[in-house]
Amino acid sequence: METQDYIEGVLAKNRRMVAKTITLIESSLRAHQESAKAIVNALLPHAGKAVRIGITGVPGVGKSTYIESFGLQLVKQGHRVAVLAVDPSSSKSGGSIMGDKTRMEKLSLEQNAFIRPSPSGGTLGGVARRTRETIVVCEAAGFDVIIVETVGVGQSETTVASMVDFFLVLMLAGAGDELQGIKKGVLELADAIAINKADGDNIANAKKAKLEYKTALSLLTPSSKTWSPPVLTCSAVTLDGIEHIWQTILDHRKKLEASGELAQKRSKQALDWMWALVEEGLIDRFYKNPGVEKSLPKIVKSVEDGKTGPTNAAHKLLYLHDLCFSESDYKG
Amino acid sequence: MLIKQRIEHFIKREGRRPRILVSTVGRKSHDQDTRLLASLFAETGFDVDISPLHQTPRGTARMAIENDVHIICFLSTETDHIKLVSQLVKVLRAENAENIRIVIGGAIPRSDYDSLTDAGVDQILNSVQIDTAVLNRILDLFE
Repeated sequence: METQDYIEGVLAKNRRMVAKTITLIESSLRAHQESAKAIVNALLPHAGKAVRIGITGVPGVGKSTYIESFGLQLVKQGHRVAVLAVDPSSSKSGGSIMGDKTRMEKLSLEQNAFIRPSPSGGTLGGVARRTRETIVVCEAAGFDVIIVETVGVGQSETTVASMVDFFLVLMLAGAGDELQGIKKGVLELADAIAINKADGDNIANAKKAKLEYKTALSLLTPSSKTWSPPVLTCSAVTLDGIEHIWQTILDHRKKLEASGELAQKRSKQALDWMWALVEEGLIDRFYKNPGVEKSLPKIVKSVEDGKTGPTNAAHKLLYLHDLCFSESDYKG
Repeated sequence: MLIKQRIEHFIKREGRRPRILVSTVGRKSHDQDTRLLASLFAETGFDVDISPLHQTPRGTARMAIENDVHIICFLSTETDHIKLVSQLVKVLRAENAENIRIVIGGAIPRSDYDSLTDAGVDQILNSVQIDTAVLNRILDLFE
């Protein structure tokens, strides 16, 4: 298939072509990446109009079930919803299990929904690039709400927060020591906190947790002049509070649009994207550099054997990279 | 060649790991079997998608296309698996996705093997325990 077929397929909202384009973006083959770059560039003018929402929370908080209820509600209101989820790959076998859709039974069958889980494949930087480009593809295919789901581990929240308009942190009301478990960093990223599973016997607990999180948030300096992150409660089962969260997201959007902060946020994200690409490209060039490639095994071995110190070895490798730069790069 | 090496070769050729959708079709589906198979494939180095329970052939095809998998592993607990497979193949063809391979598992009588192959099944598993031979035959489908 030609690049043009992918572009036309995505713009024609063809599900299979959207899926195939995402595969190209995720591919480790050079040729695929070149095509993906051309496709994403051509689609870029058609993207940017969607509401981009990041959703995080610890495993077990009910992210998938929440997205099922939230997504269905949006579809009912006439929105077209794309859900992108990154699942961790096993560091041992390299394989992964992507089971998010088992809990998105109804949403996964909706005509106006698109759910694509992706294996993390080990490198976190890679995930960021791929997800940003996938957002562009989904927007060009006419999805007007993009949900990026992330597991609440490692640096992934920061990465996702740097590519969405609204970052929602799901929490559970529990035994009263909620605050110990959360990293302060996650709270700083949140545009809203929602206490999930606020149903049945858990309602009282959820209300208590809400107060505690409110206090915790009030201690932080808000990142926006016009928005202080609210603490909400919801239940993906009874659907209580789900619509309220959507209204909160729209309200946030309206306020930040009016103050110009949304535009600022997006241009800052464009810069983040550029820097991420530069960093990724530098690392890639380093490993593909012929001088480095030739000497790397020797130098690695020498450090392992204790013959060369790590500092010296790093210096040597970078020197080799600088030395061979012109040869290797100006050809391609 | 070891399965691990074959998967490495697959990645070099395709740019990603072999991706398989484990889908349970029919009303009497067993979640346990789905999960067992899924983890066996993942431990071997596949990227594995799991579908919700009680899938229809149409739902399975849609998920396979959306997630862009190479293989559908179809677990049937019904007696009308031949009909289900034919429907699945039909939907895949209609969507230009007939290159997705189909592996079927479950309680399948020997007498159905030929009809299933005619209907478009590439590989039949006779139990949920997959061994090296089965994995090799599945990887053979791509060479």
